[in-house]
Amino acid sequence: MSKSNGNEISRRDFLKGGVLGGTAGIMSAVTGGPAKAQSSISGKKLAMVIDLRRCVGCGACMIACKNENNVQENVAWASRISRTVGRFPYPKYEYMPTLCNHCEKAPCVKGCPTGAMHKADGDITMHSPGKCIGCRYCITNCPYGVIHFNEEGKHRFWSNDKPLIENGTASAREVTQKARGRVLPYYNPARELSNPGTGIRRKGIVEKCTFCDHRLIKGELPYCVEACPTDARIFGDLNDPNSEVNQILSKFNSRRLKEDLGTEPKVFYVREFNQGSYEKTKGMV
Amino acid sequence: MYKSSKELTRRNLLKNAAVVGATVTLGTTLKPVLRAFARTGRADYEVQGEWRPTTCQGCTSWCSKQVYVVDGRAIKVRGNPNSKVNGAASCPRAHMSLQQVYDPDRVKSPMRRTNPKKGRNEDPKFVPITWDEALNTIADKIMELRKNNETHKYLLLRGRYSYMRDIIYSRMTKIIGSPNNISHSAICAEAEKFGPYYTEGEWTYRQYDILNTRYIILWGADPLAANRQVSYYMSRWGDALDRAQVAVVDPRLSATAAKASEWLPVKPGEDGALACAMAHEILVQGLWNRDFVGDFIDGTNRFAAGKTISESDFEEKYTYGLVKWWNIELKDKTPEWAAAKTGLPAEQIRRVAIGYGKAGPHAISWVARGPVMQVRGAYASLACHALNGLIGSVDNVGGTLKANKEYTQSFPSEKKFLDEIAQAGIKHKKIDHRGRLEFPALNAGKSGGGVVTNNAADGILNEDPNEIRVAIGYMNNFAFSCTQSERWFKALSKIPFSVHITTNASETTWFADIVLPSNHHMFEKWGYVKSFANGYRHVTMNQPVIKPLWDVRTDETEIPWLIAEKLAERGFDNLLRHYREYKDPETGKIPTNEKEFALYALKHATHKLWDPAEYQGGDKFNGWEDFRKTGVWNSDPYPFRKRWGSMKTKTKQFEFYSETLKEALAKHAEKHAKSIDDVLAACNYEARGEKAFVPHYEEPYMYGNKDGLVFVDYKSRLNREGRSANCLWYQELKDHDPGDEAWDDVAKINPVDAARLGVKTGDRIRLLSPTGELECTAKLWEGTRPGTIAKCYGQGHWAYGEIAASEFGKVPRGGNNNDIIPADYERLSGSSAFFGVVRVKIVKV
Amino acid sequence: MESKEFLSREEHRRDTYKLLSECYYSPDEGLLNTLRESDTSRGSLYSEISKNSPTTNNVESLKIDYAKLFLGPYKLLAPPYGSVYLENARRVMGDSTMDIWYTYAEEGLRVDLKEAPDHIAIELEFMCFLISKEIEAALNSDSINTTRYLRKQKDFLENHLAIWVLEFTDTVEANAETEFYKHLARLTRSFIKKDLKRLSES
Repeated sequence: MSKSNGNEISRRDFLKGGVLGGTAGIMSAVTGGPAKAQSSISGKKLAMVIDLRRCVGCGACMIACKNENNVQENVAWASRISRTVGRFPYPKYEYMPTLCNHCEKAPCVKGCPTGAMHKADGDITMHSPGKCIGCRYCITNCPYGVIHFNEEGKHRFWSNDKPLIENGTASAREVTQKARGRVLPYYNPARELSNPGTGIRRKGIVEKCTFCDHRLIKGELPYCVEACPTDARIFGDLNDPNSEVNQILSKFNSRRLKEDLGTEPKVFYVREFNQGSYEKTKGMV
Repeated sequence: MYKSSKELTRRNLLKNAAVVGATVTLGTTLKPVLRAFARTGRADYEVQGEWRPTTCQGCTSWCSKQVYVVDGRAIKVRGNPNSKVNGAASCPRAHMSLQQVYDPDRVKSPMRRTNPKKGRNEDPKFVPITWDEALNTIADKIMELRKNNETHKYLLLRGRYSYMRDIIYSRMTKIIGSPNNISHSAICAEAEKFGPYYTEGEWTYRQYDILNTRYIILWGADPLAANRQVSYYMSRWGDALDRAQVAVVDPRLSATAAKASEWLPVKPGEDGALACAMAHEILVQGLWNRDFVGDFIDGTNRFAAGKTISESDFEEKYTYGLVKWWNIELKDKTPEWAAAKTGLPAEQIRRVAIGYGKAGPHAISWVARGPVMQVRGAYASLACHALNGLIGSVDNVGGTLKANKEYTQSFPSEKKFLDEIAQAGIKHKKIDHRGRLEFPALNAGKSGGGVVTNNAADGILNEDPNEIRVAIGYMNNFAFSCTQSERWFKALSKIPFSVHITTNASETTWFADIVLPSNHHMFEKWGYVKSFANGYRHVTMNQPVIKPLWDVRTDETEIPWLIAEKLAERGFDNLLRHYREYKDPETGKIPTNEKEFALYALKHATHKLWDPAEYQGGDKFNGWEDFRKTGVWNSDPYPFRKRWGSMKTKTKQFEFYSETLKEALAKHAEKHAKSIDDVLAACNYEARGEKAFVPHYEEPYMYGNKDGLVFVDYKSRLNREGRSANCLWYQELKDHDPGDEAWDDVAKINPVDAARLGVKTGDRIRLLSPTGELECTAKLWEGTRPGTIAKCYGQGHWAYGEIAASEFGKVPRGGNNNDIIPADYERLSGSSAFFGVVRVKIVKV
Repeated sequence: MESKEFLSREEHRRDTYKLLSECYYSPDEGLLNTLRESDTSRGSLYSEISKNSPTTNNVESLKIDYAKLFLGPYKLLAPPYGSVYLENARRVMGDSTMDIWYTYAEEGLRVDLKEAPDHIAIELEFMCFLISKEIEAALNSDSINTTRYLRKQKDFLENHLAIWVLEFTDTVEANAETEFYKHLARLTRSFIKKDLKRLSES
């Protein structure tokens, strides 16, 4: 951002030809309809219920999300918490899928200096790559660790141009170019539909789950929900009293991650991952 | 910049300046002169794509799938909703197929070895060659065998197949004149079929009616992670858990065990004891199913520990030999006895047996590889499966079912294309020794009826019965996937000329003379496979959904055709003439090239499924294109209880005392002029006499020092038959196998053992067995039975690709389990022993 | 029916990008003639460049400056490639470049020069192209595509050109010997800044 000096043309001069004359924005000069289409999810409060009983901890959601959103290696927008507790012969392997909670009171939004992180239609917590300056305040403020900063160049693996066997095998870059993919051979172009620049997020900015907003505007479920083979992820509108998410929440106790922080997360967990029945007993002293 | 701006005049540059200020006409298009760009003539780059049907063969669930293709690129994968077996559900491994088909390490073109030396440490120094050169070389080698009447020295190794397989596996091998077609089946799960065959007459895998069942005992089976029909069972398991108790028998806490009511961490090799004790308890408690098994004539239960029963006191209905079984084996096999053998509490054994018995007939005893692919595993297979017979769940609602009928047909016969050379050649004995005294391989009742895959290596090494001079292997990797794999390094090095048809340069490729790049079976191939679950069978097609990036051909159809053409050029046209019989059922046209051949062969095999004029049952289609677009045919629903009283056993009943097995053993013994007891001795079984015909307990047979840890091998939910270690997503999500770690290959040890050994999580350790060693990372984990060490199969590649290997051709990433498992066999089925077979010593690196 | 004023403005933007693009090719008589003949009533951009152009006989000095800044054979003083400023390593054909290739391909365009696709002249011409598509749509009363192409222009600036043009033009200005290239740098910078601001205000 250089300062103006005497040699720079004055704004008036520059605009003499009326290139960008007037205060009216360009887009509003267009007749025949508003610049932004009315979104079908505006007014909704979108949320997700995860049924841990159905979940088997397979990770299809993690991979499917990376696939749909062109997420680079070793980064996962949809992730999990898993651990083994207890002792043989009664250990317990626990698994819990995680993702951005699209908090109603999102700390990442509150702390974003440019408004890149913002609440959008459907009460989704959205990120605009164009406004992001990579300050990472959002990462500091988010208690869930679901925001990622693109430190390295993206998709290092796919930019490798050395084949394993000279003239025998390809290189990653050769595959992508031959397949005419963008950075990745299996690049998903639909990711870009709602918000250009989000196809593959550039270096130096953050990225995270957007509830697949590019699918929502077409009336499609987030891809993790679609791809889950056990139907353990249920999506819907909390503002709709008849929605499936509300129906399920009415039947079971639910819990959310770090509820006590007051972020009002919108990912709810019901039932248990570890099924059990046991023989009737009073135990013993 | 290299273009001059000479042509740049004011008029050019400001082409449309004249228009400004004048009245604008609607519809005028103003295209600036572009200098840096050329227009490609394509409209907006496509974002819209379409879902195209095909089949996933990442494991043998063989799900019908759809691939989303945009602008000729495969982008996403999902289950094919048209399949009644798996529907839209897709397990995680399917997605990694994208990283396989676009794997940079795929072989792009045929290659030839330039380093004449072969060995683990001999870089083949491959150079690219043309298809023509490759095929000519191969044809020359085959013709040489023919010239010298040595066609029996030709070997075909089959790996990942579709049902186009007989074209290369059977027809081509026989017409060339060799008996040596060796499949991978014996390293799969053949021993699992032993139980079902010798009880209910079905040498097959099973499907399980989990939605109607109330109790499931899984013996080493882990359907939430691995075979079979993972997608289906995953999708319905949540519902099944609403109605059924689940008990998992497995030395390690598997994915399925993590969500079960009961985990029975059995000592490896002692599953037979557990099953026998459960059978004992079910009988003692009177929980057998009266409708299926029958009852004591006076209704009084005489089964009590230690008591011999008179057979005439019991009237059986649809079973045979129950009392014989009790008297010969079960009467002393109490839960207390089993507790000592299995390391499980007697009350748990009792509790599970009773729970299972009470839930019958809607209860399932689900047998998988773990208890049966062991040196003495055949009788465990019988015992575990026989539990289904006791409670009447065989062929029943909520029970164990076989596959539904389907109507694919086999390819034209090769018989009239066998010339004298071929006829003489195929009479030789096979290289794997199936049918010899010590390898009965009694698949489906026949002596030598099954392959002994791993023993082919010894056959080759010892030139017994003869040497192998020319070998073709397709989509197999025996140098990685067979136990005591270094025998295959030697065997493959010994073969003077071998060809590997493969997608990636794997361990087996390392020893090849010629490499032929194979297409990927999910994206680039015509073929079909079958699978079953949910009470249905489906026949699902492999279809080309994208154009291959590289110069690849189909393993089972195109390559054999191309070889046939070359052979015909050299005066031997029998194979080509045979392939020309595979006419297009729609038009009657004879194939004229390899592409037509591949398609016509598939249309022929599936003819009765898609042609309304040939309709037999199941889904009905309008014709080929209708079938192709749907991608999958579904059978009629399952006919429950149709087989009661008409099973394919000697007695037509469900045999607890197997007359069928008795006959099979007798025939095999007779062939060698020996007794059945001699056969059992040769096969390393303890049983003699009558015990040989009933499910019974055998002491596990293990290699290694008694104070070593018993090695527990298992499959990952992310394995794509040992190939996915080269996929980023595999490595990133490896911790999704309970207890494992991302980007690592860990051996899990119970903390009690670890303390004794002085090992902690993260230590680099070496596992030493009598036949080999491997290096990996130690992980302390409570989900491991003390006395055992559990490590997942699939890593330890030293070739295959950049991710799979730490240093391609040299250093493996992780350790290959097969490096420490000795090459021994469950000989009654010819299976390789993977479990309960070796104890290892742990040393820190 | 689009306003004449609107069309005139858009055409002017388009032509400005085109002109700027031309200025980043190797300079010769043709370019200078064009610049001098530019209708100065159409905008001071042209007159500014024209005013500050050296005398006709001094193409040589321009050529030398151009080579030092953008061409080589020695280390480029102001490499005219986006990836250089967007990546840590000064590596041409990095990830951001491959991105651009795809962006062009989406519009049915292929780079027809022996140059990396994120060369300043190419990116500027691409903006010209996008605006021409916008005008085409406007003349057809196709408001959806008009908006779409306006959005594409904004995104292209936000995700590519505008991000690096500041550092690039600063570098040019700091290292140029001739007034021509100094002015060109300033004009490029201010024009793009203002254009993006205008696009963002909608």
